[in-house]
Amino acid sequence: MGKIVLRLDRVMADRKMSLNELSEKVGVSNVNLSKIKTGKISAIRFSTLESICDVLDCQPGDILEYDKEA
Amino acid sequence: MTEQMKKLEAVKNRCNTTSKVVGVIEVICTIFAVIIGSIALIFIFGANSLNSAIEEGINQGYFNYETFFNAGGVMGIRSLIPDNGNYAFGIGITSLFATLAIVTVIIILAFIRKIFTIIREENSPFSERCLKTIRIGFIVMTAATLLSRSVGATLITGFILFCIYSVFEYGAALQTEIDETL
Repeated sequence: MGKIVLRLDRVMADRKMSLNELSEKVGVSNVNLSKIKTGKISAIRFSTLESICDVLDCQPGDILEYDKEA
Repeated sequence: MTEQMKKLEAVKNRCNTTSKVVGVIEVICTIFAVIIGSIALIFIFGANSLNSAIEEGINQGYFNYETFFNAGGVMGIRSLIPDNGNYAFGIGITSLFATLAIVTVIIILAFIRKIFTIIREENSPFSERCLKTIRIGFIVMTAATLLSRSVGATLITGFILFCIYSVFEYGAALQTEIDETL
């Protein structure tokens, strides 16, 4: 069975945004944001996803990806 | 300070107070255990010299034989007390088992205090550490029931504590899920 992979690091690199800057703008601590970045979470709230998409100006699909092989 | 943080602070304060109160009760119980334990040892090892004094007291009507053995119900040890006029040994054995009962209470209180300390430290009663302490505490409580009551009472106690533990286990699973949701 595949799994959802988070591609936040890729989008952040595209936007040239640091973890600290993003955490300040999103309102999530950089420890928690780091967990999202490294995929060490089992769920994400719509509100958090909305904030990230708003700050990074992207779609949820740019951050979340389904990997069938993983 | 948000409403949620105020509530959390209140819970922390309550846990702090509870663990302190339980700590005080624990100290009182320990003092009682030491006193009664010492009495037990004095009566068991000094039975020969104390029996004559007790017999004299009974003859003069200060107390009667039943006074000693009514207390023998502690942990069901009445049958262990000799019925041959060795009063001091009987009192000693009764006191020894009373000490054991108090020690069991102290152990249970120690677990309760530990649980509240963990809740205060981790802000939740559903952490893995807390769950482990609750599990050991419940096993000790069930064992204490087995020592002091019947097998039937132990089964009922064990079942009730298992149900409570299951609720805590479910709570811990939900807590993990919440913690991993951002």
